[in-house]
Formats: sequence, structure tokens, C-alpha cells
Amino acid sequence: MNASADESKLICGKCGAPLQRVGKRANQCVACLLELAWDEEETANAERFDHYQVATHNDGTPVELGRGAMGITFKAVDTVLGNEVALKVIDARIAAHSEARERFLREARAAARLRHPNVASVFYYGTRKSDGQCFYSFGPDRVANDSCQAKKSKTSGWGRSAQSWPSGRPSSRS
Amino acid sequence: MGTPLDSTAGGRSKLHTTQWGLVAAASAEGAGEARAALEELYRLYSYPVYAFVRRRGYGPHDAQDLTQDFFVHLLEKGALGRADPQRGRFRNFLLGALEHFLAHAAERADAGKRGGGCQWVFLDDDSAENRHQLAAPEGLTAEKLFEARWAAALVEATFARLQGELEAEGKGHLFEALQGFLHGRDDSSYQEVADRLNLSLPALKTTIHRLRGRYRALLREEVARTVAAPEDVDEELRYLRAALRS
Repeated sequence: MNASADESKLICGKCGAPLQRVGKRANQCVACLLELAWDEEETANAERFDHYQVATHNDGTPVELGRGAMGITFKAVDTVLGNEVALKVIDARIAAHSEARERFLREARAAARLRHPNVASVFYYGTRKSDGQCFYSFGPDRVANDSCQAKKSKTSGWGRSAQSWPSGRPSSRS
Repeated sequence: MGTPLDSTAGGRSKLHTTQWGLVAAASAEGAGEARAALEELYRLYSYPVYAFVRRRGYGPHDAQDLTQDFFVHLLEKGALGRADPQRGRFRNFLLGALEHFLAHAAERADAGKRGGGCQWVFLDDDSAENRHQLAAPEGLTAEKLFEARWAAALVEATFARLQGELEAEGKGHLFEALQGFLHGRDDSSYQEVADRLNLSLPALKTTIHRLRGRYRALLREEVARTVAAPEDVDEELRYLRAALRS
């Protein structure tokens, strides 16, 4: 049983989960095998939210346009239509709380009801399947507005360090 | 005593009913499918149940008896009838029922109710205990171990279906050769296997890509069988993944 005792202590080199026996297959990482339930492209790409790809700077850091109590807004591209959008992603630190998610959804719904030349339209609301992060996209005019605001805030110390995600990156995969 | 229920025999039913559907079938009094439905539940979930009972401190033989008794108990009038799909995840239902069952196990033993007149073939001999020894990470609570074994049972069922599908198409050798690639390997391994299967490298990569796609679809189907609504599949997968990595 020495070998078996050792086997029960093995962990996955990729994710740290304990290795298990799956049927006759020894040393399997069930967490990684569950991960395969999601599209590989999505799980490998932290800046991907459904069909939106967050724009990045030359050094690979995401282009942040603004941040608030509920989340952070990034510049992104609709990979299907090819146009630029602003993408607001719920703050990963609060995304696990159902109340926060409901509030984020209410915010998106309220914005979607507004129709005004100076107010950006909300296009889409979604939840990233692999980690449950909620997001919604809105119009390019808002991108421009937020970009201007972002530039202003750089000098006003509004917390621009674009490159800091709520928990390091857009993804907060557990 | 009836015919032994054999959890090691047979494959999956062609109609992949939900676990709640199996519960309903197993609880239907006099239904011809009740036995098959319970056997299916037993085949799928006896390992998570056994692991939970063992981690609660019972010895191998007691744990084996209690696991069998638990499934017999589920058959008893009323136990499964109270199961309500609207209550959500089948995993939570089974764990709750198991905790309740163990809390009253001593009373039942005193009353001599063990067995319920039903004899089970417990998996394959001592494989449950062997598997428990081989894959019971230390430091996990009984609940966490149950979740870990539950997740493993889902993956195992997915592998079994994928293998069955490929064998039905006369491609069983592909499953044997490529199952390790679900996780991905380095390119030299790809070339080695491509040569062995007499495939070009691009053809091999396409085959692996399709295998992963089919695995993904089957895994999601397996999880969907255990939750109340299709939209709960991702949440259940995330929960189990997080539970394994915590």
C-alpha cells in the first residue's frame, strides 16, 4: 500500500488539485478534466468574453477605460462584427455574490432602456461560462467618451493604472 | 432473496434520462424499470457514497454494508418519493439523504433492517476499498471527498460513453491511443502516435480536436442529468472545479 499512499498525495502540476483514480485510469486531474467542458479558446484566453476580445497594449496589458464600484470598463472588439465596443466586466472580487450580480444586471438593464444621442446603447449582456464573470457591452460613442475621461483621470489620479485587474486579470478562475 | 443487483454489469441505457428521472423510475412502485433504474444509480454513485462513509470513520466492511443499505433504503417506500427535482442538484439530494441515513444507521442496525432482502454485487470485489486507498486525498472532509468522488464519477461516466461511441463505430483503438491527449501532450508525442496510427500529424490533431469536442458535449450532458435546469450546468461545473482546487 506504500505506492497507494503516495498516490493519494499527488497533485496536478497544472492546477494543484489532488490527483484521483478515474475508473482504471490512475493519477487523473478531475478538475482539469472538468475544465474541458468549456471551449479551449475561451479558457486559455483571459481577455475573451464570449465573442468580445479585450484590447491590449503592446505589453499585453488590457486597455482599461474606467472603473467604478461594480466593475471595470475595457476597450474591446466584437470579433464577429469587427467593431470596437466598451466592455464592462463585473469586479471579480464581488462576482461571487448573487446580490452584486443582480445589481450589475439591473445596471445593464437600466442602461439598455435609455435612448439618447449622448447616452451609449447597451448591446449585449452575458456571463462567461468558464468562471461566471458577468459583462455587458455598449456603444463606441461611450468608448470615445470613456477614453477622454480616462485621459483626464490619469492626471486627476482617478485610479487609472489601467493595467490592474480586480484580481490581477479579468479572469478570476477558481 | 432476489436476484443480486449487479452494478458492474451492463452499459448505460440508450435514453440518457436525468438522475431525477432515474429516481422517479426507481421509486415507482411495481414499475418494471425500477430495478434497472436503481442499479444505474448504484453503479454511478456507489463510489462517492462509499468514500463518504469511509471518511466518516467506518471500516471497509461496514462501509460496504452501509453503502448497499443506503441504496436499498432509497428504494424503501417514501424515501425516493420525497425527492423533488425542483429542489435542485441531485448531488445535494444524495448527500443530504446519505447524511440522514448515517445519522440513523445505528437504529436501523438494532432493528435488524440491514439488507432489505436485497443482495447487491458491490462493484468488483474489493475495488471500492482499493480505489479509496488509492485516491482519497488526505485532509479532505467527508463532504469534500464525496464531491471529489462525485466529480470523478461524472468524468468516468463521460469516458465510458465516449469509449462506447467510438467502439460502436469500430474506432475503439483510437480511444485507447488518444484518451491521454484530452489534456494535451507535447508535439513529439503527437508524432509518435501519428506514426503508430498511420495518420498524418494534421489528421491526428483534427481527430484529437473532435475527440475533445465530443468529450465536452458528453460531459455537459452528464452534468445536465444531475441538475434541475440546463442553465445550471456551468455553475455546477464551476462549483465542482472550485471544490477540487480549494
